Amino acid sequence: MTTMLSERKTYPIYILLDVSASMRHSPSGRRAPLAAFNEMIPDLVMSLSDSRSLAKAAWISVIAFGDEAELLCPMTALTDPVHIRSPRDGRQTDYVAVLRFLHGRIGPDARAIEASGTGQSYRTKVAPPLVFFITDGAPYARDRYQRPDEWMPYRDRIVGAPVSARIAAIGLTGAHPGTLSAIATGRPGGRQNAFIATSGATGDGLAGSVISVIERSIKLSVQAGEMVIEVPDGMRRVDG
Amino acid sequence: MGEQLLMLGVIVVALTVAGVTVLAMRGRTITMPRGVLGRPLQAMHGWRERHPDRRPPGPSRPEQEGPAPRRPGRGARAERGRPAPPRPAPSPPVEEAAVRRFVIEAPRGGQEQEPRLPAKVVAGSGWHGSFFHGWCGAAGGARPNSHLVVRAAALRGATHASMGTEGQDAIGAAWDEARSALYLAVADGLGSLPRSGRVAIEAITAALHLCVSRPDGIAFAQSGDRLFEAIAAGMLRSLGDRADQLDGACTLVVAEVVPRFDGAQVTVHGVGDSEAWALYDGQWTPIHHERGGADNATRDMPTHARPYTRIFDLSPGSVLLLGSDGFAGALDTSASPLARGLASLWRRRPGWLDFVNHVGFVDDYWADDRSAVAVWIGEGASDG
Repeated sequence: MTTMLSERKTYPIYILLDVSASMRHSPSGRRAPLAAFNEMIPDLVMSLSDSRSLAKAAWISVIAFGDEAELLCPMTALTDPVHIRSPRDGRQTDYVAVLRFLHGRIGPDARAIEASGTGQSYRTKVAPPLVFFITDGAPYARDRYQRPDEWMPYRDRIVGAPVSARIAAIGLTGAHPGTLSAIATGRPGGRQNAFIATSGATGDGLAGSVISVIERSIKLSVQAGEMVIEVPDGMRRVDG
Repeated sequence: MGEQLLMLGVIVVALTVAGVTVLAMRGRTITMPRGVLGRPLQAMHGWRERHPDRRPPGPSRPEQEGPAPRRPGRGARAERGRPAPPRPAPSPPVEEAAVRRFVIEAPRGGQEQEPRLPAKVVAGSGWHGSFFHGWCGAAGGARPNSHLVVRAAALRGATHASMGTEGQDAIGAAWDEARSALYLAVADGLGSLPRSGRVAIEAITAALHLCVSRPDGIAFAQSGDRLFEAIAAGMLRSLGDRADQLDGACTLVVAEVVPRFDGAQVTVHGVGDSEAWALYDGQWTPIHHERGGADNATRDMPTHARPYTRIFDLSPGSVLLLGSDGFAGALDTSASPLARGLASLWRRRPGWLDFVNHVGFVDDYWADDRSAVAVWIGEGASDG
C-alpha cells in the first residue's frame, strides 16, 4: 500500500486594483475610490490575519495596475507580517499588462507556497487562486482601447487548467459591464461573479462595501473550496 | 426522559431522549491530548476486501489504495525517485485522559450503561453540535453475532460559527432489525451553495429510509446506483425549484454493516470527498477516498449519482469510520497526528463524551464542519 499523507490546501489570493486616473477622481468633494482602497486594503489584510484558521490556509498578494502592473505586496502568508506599498499614480488601464503580470506570478507564487510546507507531517496543496479584480474603466492603454482578443488570452490562461483561478470582477462607476463579465468566472452553468456599481453609488461607502464583501468572500471561499461571493451593497450582478 | 446538565461553561444544555443527544456547545473548549504517540504500524490482519471495487469510468476517478497493504514499518524505504514521507515527530507518551464526567450519583456497577441505538436517527450541524451513540446487534440465534457500538458527532465548524452561517454536515444511522444490519451515512453540504445544509439532511434521511425499506430481493451491495439515483431524484423533487434546479449539493457516503459471529461485513457506497476508513491493530486503511483531484472540485449529489462501492470484512476489534472531509481529511496512513492519536485512543471504544472531544480535536487549520460516525465491531455478543 502506498503511503498517503493528509493534505492541507493553501489558497493564493490576489487583489488587483485599478490605479488609473479616474480612480483618483473625487465626485462632489468626497474621498476618491483609490484613496479609500489604499486605506482599506491593509485593514482587510489585518482582519484576515486575525482569523487563525484562515491565516493557516491563505496567502495574499496585492497588485496595482494603470499604465503598467505594479507589485504592491508579494505573495505572503497571512501568518507573517504583510507589507503593502502605496501604488504609483497611473493614467490608463492596461488589462494586457496586469493579466500578463498575474499569469507570470502565479507559478512562482505556488512554488513558494509549496516550499513553505516542506518537512511537515502533511502535504501542502496549492488551491486554485482566488482573484479579486477591482476596476472603474474599460481596458485602455497607449491611448487606445485594448481589444478583447488582446487581453482575453491571458485571462484564459489564468482561469484554464492547470491554474484554474477563480476571478471576481468588481466594477466601480464607469466600468464596462461586458468587460467585467468577460473577465469573471462563475459556477458551470451559473452566473458570472461580475458586479458593477449602481447609479449613485460612489466613494467611501462603495469601497467599504466592496472590501467587506471581499473579506467575507475570502473566508467563505477558503472553506468552501470554491469562490463564494455575495453582491456588494451599492452594486448589482452583471448578467451575461 | 430529559435531563439538563451544566458542565463548567462547556456544555450548555444536553437533552437526552432514548439515547439521542443534541448538545449545544459554547465554543469548542474540550481538548484532546496533543502529540499522541502512535503504535508501530503493522499489517492489518483483520481487514480484507471481499470483492474488487467497482468504479464507473469518469475523469475524476480517484487514486485508491489496494486491498493488500504493504508493511510500511519502521525500516520502510522510499521508492526510487520518490521522496520519503515525513517522519513523524517524536511524541510525548500517550495520555489517555478522558473527559471528566460530572457525577451526581454513581451508576450501578460504576459504569454508565450504553443505550440501545434508536431505530433511526438523523442529526445535523446547522446551528449547534449534535451527537448520538448506542449499541445494536441481533438479540439471539445459534451463533450470536458481534455487537456493534456506535459513536457519532456532527460539529459546526469554527468558520461557520465565526461568520454566523449555518453548518452543512449531516449524519445518521439506522438499525434494521429484520435484516440485522446497521446503516450509517455522512453527508457534507457544498459551501458554495446556500441550501447545501438542507440538502445534506435530506440526503441522510432519504438514504436511511431507502436502505431499510428496500425490497428483500435487492442486496445493498448491488443497489448503489439505484440507491443514489433515488436519493438524487428525491432531492430535486423535494428541494428543487420548478426547473428542477437545486441551490444545494452534498457529498455522501453510506455504509451497511452486517454483524456476524466473527466480525462484520461492510459495504460502502460513496460520492465525493466524505470518506470511509477502517482502523485495525493501530493502522488506518482508506475504504472510500476521493482525494487528489487536479483542483478542488469534488463529486457531489445530485450531480453525480453513481457511487464507488467497496465491500470488506472487518474483524472483531476493528473500527469503521465515516467522516466528512472536515474530519477525515486530517487522517492518513502514516504521519498524521490525528491518525496516530486516534489509533491509540480508539484501541478501545471511547466514552461518548470522549468521542465528541476527539472529533473536536484542536487544530486551527481544520475550521470546517466536522462529522464522524464510528462503529466498534464487538468481540462477541457480550461486548455491548
